Amino acid sequence: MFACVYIPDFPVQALVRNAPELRQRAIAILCGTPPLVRVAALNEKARALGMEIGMTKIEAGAFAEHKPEPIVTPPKANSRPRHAPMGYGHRGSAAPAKKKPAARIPAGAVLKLQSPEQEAAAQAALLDAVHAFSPRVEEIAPGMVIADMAGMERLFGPALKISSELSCRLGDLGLEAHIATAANIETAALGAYGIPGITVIPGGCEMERLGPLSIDVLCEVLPLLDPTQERERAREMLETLDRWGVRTLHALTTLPVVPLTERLGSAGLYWQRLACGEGWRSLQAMEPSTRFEETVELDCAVELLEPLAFVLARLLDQLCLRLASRSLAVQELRLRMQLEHRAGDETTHTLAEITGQQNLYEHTLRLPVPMQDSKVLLKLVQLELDANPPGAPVVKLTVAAEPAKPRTQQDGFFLPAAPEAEKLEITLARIQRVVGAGRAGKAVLLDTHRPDAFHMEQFRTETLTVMPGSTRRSGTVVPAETANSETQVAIRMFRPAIPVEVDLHEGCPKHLRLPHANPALGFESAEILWAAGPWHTSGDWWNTTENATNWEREEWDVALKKRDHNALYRIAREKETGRWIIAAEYD
Amino acid sequence: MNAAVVRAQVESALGERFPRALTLPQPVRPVTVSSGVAVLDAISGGIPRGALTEVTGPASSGRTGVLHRVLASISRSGEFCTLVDASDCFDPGSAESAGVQLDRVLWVRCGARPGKRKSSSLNMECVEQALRATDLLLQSGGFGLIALDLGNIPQESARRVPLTTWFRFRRAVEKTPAIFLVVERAANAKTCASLVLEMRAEEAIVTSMHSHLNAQNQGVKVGHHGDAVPAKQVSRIPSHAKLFQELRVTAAVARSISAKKPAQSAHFSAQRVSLSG
Repeated sequence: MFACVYIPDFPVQALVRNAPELRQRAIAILCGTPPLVRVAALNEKARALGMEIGMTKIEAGAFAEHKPEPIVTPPKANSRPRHAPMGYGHRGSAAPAKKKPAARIPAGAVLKLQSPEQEAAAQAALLDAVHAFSPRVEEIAPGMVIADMAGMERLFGPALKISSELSCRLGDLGLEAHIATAANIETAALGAYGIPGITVIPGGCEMERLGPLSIDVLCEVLPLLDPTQERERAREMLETLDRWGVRTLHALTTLPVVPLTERLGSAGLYWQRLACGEGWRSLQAMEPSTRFEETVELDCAVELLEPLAFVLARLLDQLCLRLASRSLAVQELRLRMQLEHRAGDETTHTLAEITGQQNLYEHTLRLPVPMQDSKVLLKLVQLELDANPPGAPVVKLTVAAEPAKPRTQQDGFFLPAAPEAEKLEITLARIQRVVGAGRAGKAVLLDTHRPDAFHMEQFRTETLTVMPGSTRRSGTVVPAETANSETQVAIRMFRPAIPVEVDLHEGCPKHLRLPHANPALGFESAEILWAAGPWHTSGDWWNTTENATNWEREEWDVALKKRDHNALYRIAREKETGRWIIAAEYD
Repeated sequence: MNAAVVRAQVESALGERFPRALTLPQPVRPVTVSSGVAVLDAISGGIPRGALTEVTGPASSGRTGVLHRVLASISRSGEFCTLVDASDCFDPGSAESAGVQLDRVLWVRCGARPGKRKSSSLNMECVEQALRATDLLLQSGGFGLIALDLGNIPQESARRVPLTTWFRFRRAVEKTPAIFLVVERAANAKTCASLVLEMRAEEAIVTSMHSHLNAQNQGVKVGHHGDAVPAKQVSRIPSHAKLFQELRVTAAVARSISAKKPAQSAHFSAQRVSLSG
């Protein structure tokens, strides 16, 4: 069994997929290079206005949107105004109710340029939806795919149910489709193209179901199924059949075989056999694409982030739906925005200008775990844009997702609870907005003796095994028993270190003074009660590169007499500069 | 009719239908967790979950040592911790030596944005960042310990945190299994804190290097420096050279909702571990 999915007026549907407010409008898609721009696709409402495919842009412009006229609904006879209070106007006239302003539906057509990116995204969405029902899918043409449904009845049910669910799935993705199922590819394709809605053609009933279709269907569908079929030859045959008065497929099936073959050749016989519901074509299955990208071009440049969030929400919903239909999640999100070019604006310093790409804003959001929730993704993108705004109005927006298998995690009864990954990611993004990028995460010690050597990494809550053995740092193994049983003096670092002036006596620090007041210390000068040291440390002197971080200093542990208590600090003198600093406090 | 008789009749008639209306609610004893310091657990009963605990004291009073012990205790039990560091003074090296699993600790480093130069506004900005980050983390949930370190913030700035903020924090953390620990110079949360520990330094033990190394060479355990030092090297060390070995502190319970009697105190000492080699 084969199912054919056909999206009528595909370029129009690809456009309104991300702009649902245009669904009720008459839309014409223009393509071509100026001045040869012509109408390439229309929807039903545009056809009803009198537009045709092939019109020039100027001709189409005559049907374009004019000043909208209000639609006034006449009031029903003898009807009391809805909100008029009883007894009001007791002299015989009821108080007139307030008239609700009438909805204004613009009368003209909307002209849009063809968008290959949006059509590619719509086609990808179509393939993703169909792939959820069958692993063997062939892409016939933009807006038309065929899937092999053999054996799928056991998984998804009868053909009608499969078609209904597929139609719902496509509806969620913003596409209205005609779906036909039949025993062979040709019949399914003809049924999907010619019969709107869902059509199930049981075996043996092909002639009955295809009979009423116009013979034009053959002319449109056959070149899609077989690219070697020439459209010109098909049109000639169509004209011939029309002269004979053969206008439906049923009429074609009633023609005698031999005279038909003598007059139209093997092509005529081929057409007749197709009209009878026969087919021989085999499916050429394709590999499912791993590219998930959605694009929208905005009519007007959007400057504020809030309205941009609405557009982003739609794109992310579509992406997540497509990924979910393939049982995938988002591992990485790439944003690309085309910015409005502002000539001569010297005060704007956008990210695009700084990076040298004038009108493009690109940003990549790497997620710690694969996610499928579009609301969480939207929140993260909003926080990212708040922190790094584009700096100019946006005219085109593209969102691409790097797929990954969804995370599977099984909680244990006896394992302690951990923060949810999605919630934590949003919290971390909010915290980074408060404290700055890169200032919230986990500390990882570096393998060096340099003081205060660490770097920050992204904090994750994947299951970590508790190390039963020792902790390790700088090549020194600290036994777990020691770490657990004895309380140790902790250190509080001063970042940056506090410069200080130290008076020495016989090589030993005796008094120190702060050149600038520091509220964290609470004193300006203090007597040193005792000093333990010096401890000489140095390192990285073998590193001769430009980024060398060699150091050499002598450290002292000192006790200072403060107003009401004594405090312990670590001070250090840098050998190279002779500068004294207060590096840390013992606490 | 006798009031007692009437009361008995009412209770017998309605007691079965509305038991809670006629009985006082039993106070729920909070679940506590070991702080990692045995003597501290003995006087305080442990750090309560779902409550605000303050560890207060001046500089070098052992507050940060207690903080590291609590972080080590919670992180080693498999829970995740978060440390909101208002002054960016957390030292990962000494924390790891104390047993903290850094993989399980989310460190939020507050700091000044460029442009702010006045120290008073710098401190207040750090406090505001710390409070906002703490608020977000308390709402997020899932952490076993949320620690707020205001230890280097001057008392004038820390006192400006409104009581409503502490009350809001307390309400956010109760009904959750998380510990909310605040380290500061003096207690500011008033009645919002379920446990207040006051730390005070008693004595810093400093020994002369000569006696320390000689004792080490004779095999007497004097700390973590177990390697023998040649006598020639010992003689080259100046006579005034000292080694800071130990800090003795006193911790007192200033307030505890679980203990009826006020302050108890305990002494313990913290060893200094050499981190530079």
